[in-house]
Amino acid sequence: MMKTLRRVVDSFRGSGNASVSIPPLDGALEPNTLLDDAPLALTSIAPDNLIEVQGKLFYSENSTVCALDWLDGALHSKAVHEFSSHVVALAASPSNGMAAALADGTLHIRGGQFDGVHLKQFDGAPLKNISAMAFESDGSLLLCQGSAVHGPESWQRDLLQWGATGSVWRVDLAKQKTHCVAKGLAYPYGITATANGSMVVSEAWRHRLLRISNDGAQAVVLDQLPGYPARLSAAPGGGWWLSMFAPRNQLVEFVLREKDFREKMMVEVQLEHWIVPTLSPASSFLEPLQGGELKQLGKLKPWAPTRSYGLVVQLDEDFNPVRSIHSRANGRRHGVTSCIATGVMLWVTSRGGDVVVGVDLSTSQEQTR
Amino acid sequence: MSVSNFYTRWRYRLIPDHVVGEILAKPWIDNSIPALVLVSVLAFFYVVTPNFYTPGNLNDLGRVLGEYLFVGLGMTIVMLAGGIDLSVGAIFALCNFISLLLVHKLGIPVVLAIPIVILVGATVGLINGLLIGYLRLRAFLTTLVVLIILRALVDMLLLKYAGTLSSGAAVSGAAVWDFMGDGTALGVPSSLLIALFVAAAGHVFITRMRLGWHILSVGGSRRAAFNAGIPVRRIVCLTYVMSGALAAAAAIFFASRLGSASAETGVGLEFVVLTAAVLGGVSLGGGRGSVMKALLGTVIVISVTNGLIRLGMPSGASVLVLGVTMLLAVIVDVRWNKNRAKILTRAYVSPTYFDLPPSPSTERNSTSPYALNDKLRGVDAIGLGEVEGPEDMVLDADDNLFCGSRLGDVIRFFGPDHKKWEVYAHIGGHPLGMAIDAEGSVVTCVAGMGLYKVTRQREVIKLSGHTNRTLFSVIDDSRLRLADDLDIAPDGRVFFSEATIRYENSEWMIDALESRGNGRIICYDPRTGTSRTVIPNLVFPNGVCMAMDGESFFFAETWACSISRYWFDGPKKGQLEVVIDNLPGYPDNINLSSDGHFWCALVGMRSPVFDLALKTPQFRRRMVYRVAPDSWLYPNMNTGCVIKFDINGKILESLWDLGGESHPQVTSIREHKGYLYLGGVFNNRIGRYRIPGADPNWTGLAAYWGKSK
Repeated sequence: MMKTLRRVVDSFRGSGNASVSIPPLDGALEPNTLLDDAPLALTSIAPDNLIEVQGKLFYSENSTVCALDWLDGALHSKAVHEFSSHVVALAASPSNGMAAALADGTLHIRGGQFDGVHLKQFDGAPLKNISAMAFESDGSLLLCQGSAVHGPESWQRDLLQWGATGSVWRVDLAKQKTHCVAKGLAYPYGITATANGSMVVSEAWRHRLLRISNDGAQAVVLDQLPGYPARLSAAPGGGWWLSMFAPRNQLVEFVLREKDFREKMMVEVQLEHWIVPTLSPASSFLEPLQGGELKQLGKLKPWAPTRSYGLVVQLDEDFNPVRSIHSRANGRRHGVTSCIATGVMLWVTSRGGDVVVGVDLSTSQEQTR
Repeated sequence: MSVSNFYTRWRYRLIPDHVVGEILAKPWIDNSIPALVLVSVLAFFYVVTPNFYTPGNLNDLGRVLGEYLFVGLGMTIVMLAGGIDLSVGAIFALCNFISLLLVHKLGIPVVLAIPIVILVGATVGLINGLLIGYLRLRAFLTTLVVLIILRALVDMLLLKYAGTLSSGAAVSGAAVWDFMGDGTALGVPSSLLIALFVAAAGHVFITRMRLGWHILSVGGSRRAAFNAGIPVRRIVCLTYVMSGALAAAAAIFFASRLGSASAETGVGLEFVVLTAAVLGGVSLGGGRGSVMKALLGTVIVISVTNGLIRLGMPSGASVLVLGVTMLLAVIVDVRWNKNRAKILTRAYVSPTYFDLPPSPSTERNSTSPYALNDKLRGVDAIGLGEVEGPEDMVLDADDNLFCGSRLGDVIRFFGPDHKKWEVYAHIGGHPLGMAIDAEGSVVTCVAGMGLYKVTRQREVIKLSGHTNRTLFSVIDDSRLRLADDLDIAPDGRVFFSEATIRYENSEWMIDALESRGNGRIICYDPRTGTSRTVIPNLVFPNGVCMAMDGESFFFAETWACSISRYWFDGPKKGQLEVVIDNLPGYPDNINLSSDGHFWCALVGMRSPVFDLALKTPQFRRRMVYRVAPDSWLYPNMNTGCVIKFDINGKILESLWDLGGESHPQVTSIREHKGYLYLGGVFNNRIGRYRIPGADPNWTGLAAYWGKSK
């Protein structure tokens, strides 16, 4: 009774669940243009997951894993592993190997103690959408399934359908046994192991980070993020780096609350032209446009409402944001799905901007404070 | 068409939702709440108290109402200037005593006593005014202290003179005194009649006279009023003088009616009058209110108090009811003031059902006449970064280029290279569509102003600022809000479009969210100097271009994505024909091309999601309520193109600038000597595109008016 009443009041006032307001980019998240200004960049088609193995950087691009080298002030890449289908997630193992998950739901280990191991079934069925992985210890791999319904290419559909079918798995590589740790998550898209067998997962559609303890208990460590969080990686001096692959947008939040319109849109309009977050800036006039995006005197304003954005956030040991690196609405390096810090350099894959970027953190300190 | 689409279409065709917002935008809407309260109060007492509406009771009520109205007017004037006068009750009591003293005891003629008493009231008001206006004391405390002092004074005087005040035989001017006490004229009690007369004068004073306006502006914003040179202190002081004098006037009527003075006279009057004013909608913050509001509030309060007494309530209860009413009125006053503008901007937007067929293909390398290309990329720029918002441009016989700017100027770029420019004329509004008439004057549609002409001597002449008003339109559609584009018939008649009657130039994009037939085509006839609406209810009519047959013109309907032809003369006179429907974008201005066809600019392109939103008006309506305006879904205006069509509406070619590098938007095109000039209302340049194979000697001017200059 009270719930119904609350819903009626909320939908009338636009409060509670009906509210479309989004958190501002403020404090540690104050916008800058560091990501777009960074000179060190390598063009690549939709680079996705960055990892560091034994001091060397690797990233996934399509069905290959490439090594990233920084020589003579320029970036070079070289294909090191080739797979039969899209590489959707990577993880570096403590014994200097790597795990690669493919779009067909299989898991492959290359190098290290479990070289050559591959898995197809998880509790008797293949996974539909592996989105992120992290090693807990050499024999134990943590793994996120974004959605049990939609594949990685249909993440926007999952969002519009309020998908909450994601899960987190623990894989015992020695015994090749799998165990589901958590279910019913709204598109988990990043994972990192923390002390005492617990882990922190980024839950994209709920814009938050969740700590899952060894016994399965869940606790929110950071919420009300202004974007959809993707992968997490440990920072060298303690703390973490969090990538956000798309910004939240009032119009998208509104469409999420408009059932009829959403369903009609999904049926009548092509996916590329939906009102949804995207990885890259609009490339066609058939895509929706918001009032603030109108070019005035030939310029798109950096503060314009946007459905794509480039954002990387540094978190301290307690997962509180301390600084951030941005590519704003008028920038190109959007859709950051992963990043990793080595020394003073932060390496970022802008999947929507088709580029791998190296940001020098020592020179950008002043700007991000 | 599905059942729900069918239902939605008819629901939006039959129910005029937009009227709600238009009514809410009217200034008199503030009075509607107290008026409603009044009607319900009167209805309530009609049902509950059987003899509420007897002539006797009404007569008594009217008499009291007249007295209260005087005091209420005074209070309203003080409140309008941002003050409050709590001493009115005490002034009332003092003046009542003095009236009786003068008339009954001293035997001074009534006609002489009246001005003396009013002078006494005004003097007390002056003391208030001096303290509050000039010494800048707090109005609340000052008038409270004056109230206490006056009360004490009246009590002391009463002790001394109480016995001698009652009506003696020797009232000088008894006829006047009796008329004031219980006379009627035309069946209306004397006090009410005169109070209404004063109220009418007060209305004229506040709304039409300099001092009244000054009072309103002081109350609205004291600092702004001071900066504007208004003598704020004197104005504030004067309002208290007026309040004191009006309270005195009320006291005279009271004295003549009851002929007695006691310590109870006028106790709580300030409270009743304050309640009445606030209930009527006179804002406690100052600056907002009217005589009508004060009148409404007073009638409500008098009816309620009288009605409660008739119901047999104990006297304490009626004060309680009054107190609660006052509290409610203050809450409504504060909340309404705070949220009015917010509600209005949202409630005003009223989307309607609009169904467009699927957009034609624009795919690159396809056989579609709209196939994408990059012909407009890298066109020359004229005045880059120097012009702001050249919506349209026109060239004269000497190759000078005229364009508008959002700063309200007509700019002239000197031919033939268009490097140097000057402000040709300052009009004040943003000039949109332009044309050159037979005499070489630049005729232009100016946003927010109307149709203007700039002669060769640079004289700015207003041709038309209004048209005939539509019967039953809520909004005043006689004024031209957004005159957009024009063309001139051979006989000199100017046909011009008004894109929308519901939005100003700064908000024209919001009209896309409505997509209702809010616009019209108007004809200005120079022979009579008047304008008449020719075609009403068009969906954002925009470009107008003569079909060069002397009897018809083309016009574009932007949100409807169509181009139509209208015959204003000849055998088909009055007929309207859609020439092109279902364009892939939003057509803007239309102009002649050298090969006898027509250029049309598409200001923006359709997106499938926006087309879908047009079919779901409730979605757009809720979006307007929920989402911040900057985040609203709009048609895509960041990419535009130019199309060429023949007189039958066949699309011949299209020119694109994909990605919008140089011309994010094209609102206008003009061919001149082999070049195509491109304008855009949000652009910072004019583009110049060399048309391959075009006649290098052709000019639009010669095509219209022959070779003569």
